[in-house]
Order: sequence, then structure tokens, then C-alpha cells
Amino acid sequence: MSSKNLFLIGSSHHSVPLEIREKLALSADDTEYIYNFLKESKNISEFLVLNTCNRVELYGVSDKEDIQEEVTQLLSQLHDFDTAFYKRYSFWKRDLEVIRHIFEVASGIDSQIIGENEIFGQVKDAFREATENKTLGSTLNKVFQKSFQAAKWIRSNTSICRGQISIGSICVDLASRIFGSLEENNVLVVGTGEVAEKTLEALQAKGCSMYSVTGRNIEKSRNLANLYNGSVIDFETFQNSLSIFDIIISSTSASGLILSEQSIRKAVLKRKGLPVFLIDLAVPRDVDPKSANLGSVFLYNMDDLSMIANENLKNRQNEVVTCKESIQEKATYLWEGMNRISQKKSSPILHEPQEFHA
Amino acid sequence: MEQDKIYLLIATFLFAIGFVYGFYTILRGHKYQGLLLFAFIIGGFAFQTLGLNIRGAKVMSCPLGNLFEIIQFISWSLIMAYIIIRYVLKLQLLELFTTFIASALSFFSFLYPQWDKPYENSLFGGNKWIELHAALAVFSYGIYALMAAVAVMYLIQHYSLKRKLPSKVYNFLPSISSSLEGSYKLLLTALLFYSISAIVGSMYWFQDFESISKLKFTMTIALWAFSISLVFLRKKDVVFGEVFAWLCLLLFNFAILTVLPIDNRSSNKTRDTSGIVELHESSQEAVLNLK
Repeated sequence: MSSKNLFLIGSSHHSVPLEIREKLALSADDTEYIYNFLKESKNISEFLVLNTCNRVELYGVSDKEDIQEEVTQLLSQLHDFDTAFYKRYSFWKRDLEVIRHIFEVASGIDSQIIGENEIFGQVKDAFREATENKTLGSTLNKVFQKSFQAAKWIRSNTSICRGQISIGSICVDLASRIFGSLEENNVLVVGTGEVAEKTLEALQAKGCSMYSVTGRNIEKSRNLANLYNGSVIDFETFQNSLSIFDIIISSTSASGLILSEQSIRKAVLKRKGLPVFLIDLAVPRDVDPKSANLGSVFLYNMDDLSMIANENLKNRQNEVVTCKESIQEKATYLWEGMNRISQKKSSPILHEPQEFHA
Repeated sequence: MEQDKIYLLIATFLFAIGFVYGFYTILRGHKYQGLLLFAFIIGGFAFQTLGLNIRGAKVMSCPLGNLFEIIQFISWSLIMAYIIIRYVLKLQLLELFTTFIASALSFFSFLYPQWDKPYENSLFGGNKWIELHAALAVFSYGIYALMAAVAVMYLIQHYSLKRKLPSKVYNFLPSISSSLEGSYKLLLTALLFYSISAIVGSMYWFQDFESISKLKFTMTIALWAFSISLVFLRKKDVVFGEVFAWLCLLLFNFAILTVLPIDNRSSNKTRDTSGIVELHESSQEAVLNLK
């Protein structure tokens, strides 16, 4: 393997504010487009797309020197951005740095909420998707398999996951600070995202029992509502009954706003001063940020919740240094091992059979 | 220093120590031992009761004859109200805020020795009804103080939620809904005691309205009207949330302000009956006239 093989282009919560991140987010159609487009590329032999609400990353293998330009252009065009603008908000890594990065991502060290478990499943999903699309060769396959091992090792051998904090538990804490007992509160879930479901689960554990679910996909909404003995509300008309809800969790994959400031203002007026807790778990955001200016509205988005979680997990920050040292060691070991193998074969891994080009 | 003052000073320090202990523990991110803090409150309350009792025996009436005594009595009423109401409101950290206000009021009363000026014994002319009227009025001030404490708790929690302050310290505070409900209940309770006090006092106004101090009368009516209006506006959902909490604070400040000019005004009189909140002075004059 030569040092120019592995590359990574991406953007994440570290350097990109939420308002830009929501513009960079990939829809399912965008991801499909990338897979279809890059499969035809002669310059990229393997690739994988990792797309979560906090990061959009493209891992690949290429022997082309200026591959950065090609992928930057692809991703900029996809979002209708100027290339310079995209470069400003993205990062570029190669080789050992790529391995170290995915190890950190899979372990949860690079997550917005340090040590969270959800990212591990998301990386696995991305790996499965790439496998189904047949865009993985031996290099990325090995790197990702090893990242899963590294993540498991980190979780079992360090205290990075100690003191469970989840978005759900943070939301419950905040809801309790607003309403006290949650037993009488009416909860509305807009969209059926996984995080929303987990938040619902946490609210139920705290005594919440009145749920309504709405979403474009009526089947998914019904399933989620049934799971929590809730009711389903028509997505087209749910805004008319917004005022009866105390807690509104929104996590749709819509590209624009679902709840405007005007509709929330109307609901607030009808509530006669009763507080309303808006949890916007979507990226791009579902709730107009201007709603936060309304007196009795408490609006929290993903960045706000993550910031609170990390504050509560300050002890994890110290553990990150230990984890990073272990990851550096493991990544270097893998990288050197891969290079030794490729030298023995006297040809770079790039030249191994590439299934998806077949 | 006289024995009663020593006891009142010990009470002040006990409240202050309780507050410092609780506040320091909370700042470190831990919940304080509720029983320990309550022990400080009960200890302080016992000393304060003893001090006021000695003072009462000396002046042969409820000790409400000067600004020092009135502030001490408000502080005592606040603790008394807390002890009675704590099981009804069940608000976290209420004891901490109570110790803060009680110790602050108590320290404040010691600031100027001239506030504890001597006055003629048997302040209420031996009339138990006027004594009851004055005691009820000052007791309602204690409840207003407790209401202010709860309103402050609301405002801190509201601010932390709006500003998305991440500290775990705010988790110890009660929810904004319960503190808002709590301050409303306390407003109603304060108004009830204040109204009973006014009714008792008014029995004497009708007999000799001319002898009543116009300033005190206006202040009494203003405070009562302010309280009634706030209850009405809250009931009708015209004011709520942050605005209601600020108005509760304003109401308490207004109540405290009404005490100060009374003391200054009445200090020039031959019979120094200064400091009796609002009504009692005029009521006393009315009683003397009747005699």
C-alpha cells in the first residue's frame, strides 16, 4: 500500500456550526446519488459514505494525486455550493490520519456527546450500506472492521462510557426543570427518528403517558404510537392542535422548517402562559430558531443538548486523552501492518480486485 | 449587649451558617443534607423566638415598636411561614433561600443601632385586638418575603433554561411550573393574613378616621390593592411566568419600603410608636381617643 491510498473528506460538528451543517446534510437521495456517481469513477477504487446528523464523511481509496479536487467538486455541486465555501467547512485527511479518525469516530471519542454509543451503530450501518453497494475493497473493509474492534476495546478498557448520558435523559432533566412531574404532560412527536423514539422512551420512564405522533409516513407514525399507547395525528393538520402539547419533539428529515415561529406564537397565545418545551432533534432543523425568543418557549436543538451532555460528562474529557493515545497506537500498528503486506505483494492494495467495478 | 439582642444575633448567625453550608454544597454540585440545614433553621428560629419573647416581656406587648423589631419580626415570620408551608409547597432549595432572606433581613436590622430606639411600654395600650392586627400585618410580610424567595427561584431557573446554562446546579432548583404555582399560593396566603389584619384594624378607623396617618393609610390601601390586582391578573391569565415573578418581587420590595417611612415619620412624636406596620399607629391613636 502506498501512502496516497486512503483519503477522507468530510465535515462535522467540530468545525461547522449547526446552521451550516444542516445545509451540508445528505438526504437518502443524495447518498444514493453519491454511490451511483462514484461507482463510475475510474479514480476511486473503494469508498464509503458516513452520514449522520453531526457529520458527513466520505472515506475512499485512490491512487490519484489530486483526488481531493474531484470529490470536493462532487460534494459542492451536490449542495449547490461554491467549492471555496465547501472547502472552508470541510476537512481533508489521508492515510494514517484517516484510520485514526474512523477509530475515534467509531469509539465515540469524536462524537458531539463524548462516549455515546449511537455512532457505533451508525458506522456499522454505513459499512453495511457500502457493502450492499459493493463499494468496499480489502483496504476499507479492513480499516472499518478494525475500527469496530478498536471501538469495542475502548469501550471495555477505558471509562469513556461511564456515567450514561443520552439525549433522552438530558431532555427528561430539562422537562423536569420546566414542568416538575411529567405525568400530566402531553407529548407530541413529529417525525419518527431513532433519537426521538429514545427520548420518548426516557420520558415514559419518567412517568409521561400521553403521547401523540405525527409524520409524513403514516405507517411509521402508527407503529411508534402503538409502541407507546399513543395516538396518531394527521401531519397535514397537526399544527392546529399545537397548543395542547407541553412537550414537542421534532425529528423529521425534512429539508426545511416544519414549525414556523408564527405557528408556535399562535399556540403559545392559546396556552395562556403555560410553558412549552420544544426539542428539535433534526438536522436540518425543524423548528424556527426565532421561536426561542417567545417568553414561555424553551427551544433546544442538538447542539444545545450535546453541550449540556458534555458539561455533565466533564470527567470523560480527561479520558479522551488516554483513548486517543491507545487509538494512535492501534492505528499506527494497523497502518504499518497494511504497508508491510502491500510491500510483500509488491503491488499496492489498489490493484486488488475491485468488486464494484466489475 | 442585652440578652435579647445576643439571642437575636445568635439566630442571625445560625441562619447565615446554614445558608453558607447549603450554598457551598450546591456550588460543588451536591445536594446538601436537608436535615442539617433544617436544624440550623430550627436552632435560629428558637433563639429568635427567645430573643423576641424577652423583648416582648420587657415592653409588655408584641415587640413591634421600632424598625429593628419590625425587621426581626418579619424575619421570624418568614421562618415561621416556611416551617408551616414547607410540606404544602414541597419546593427544593426553599430552605436555602429562606435562610438567605432570614439572615439578610436579620443582619440588616443590626446595621444601624439607632433603629432600635426605645419607646414607651405597652405599645398597644393594652388592647389585644390592635396587637393582633399589628402582628398579623407583620406576619403577612414574612409570607411576602417567602413569596419573593420562591419568585427568585423561578427567575433563576427560567434564566438558566432560556440561556441554556449547562451547570447541574440548576437541576437542584424546583421547576418553573411549581415555583410559579408556589409563589401564587404564597401571594394568596399573604393577602389573606394582610386582609384579616386590615379588617381587625379597620374597626378602629371607622370610629376615628381623622386621627389616622394619611401616609400609612394610603400605603396600606396601595399594598392591599397591589396584592389584589396581582391575584386578579394572575387568575385571569393576564400576567404569568416571568412578569408575574418580577411583580411578586416588586410587591415584596414595596411592602418593605412601606415600613421605612413609617419609622422616620413617627420618630418625631412624643410617644414613639414608630415602626408598626401601616395600620397599628393610627389604630392605637383611635383607641387612645376612645379612652
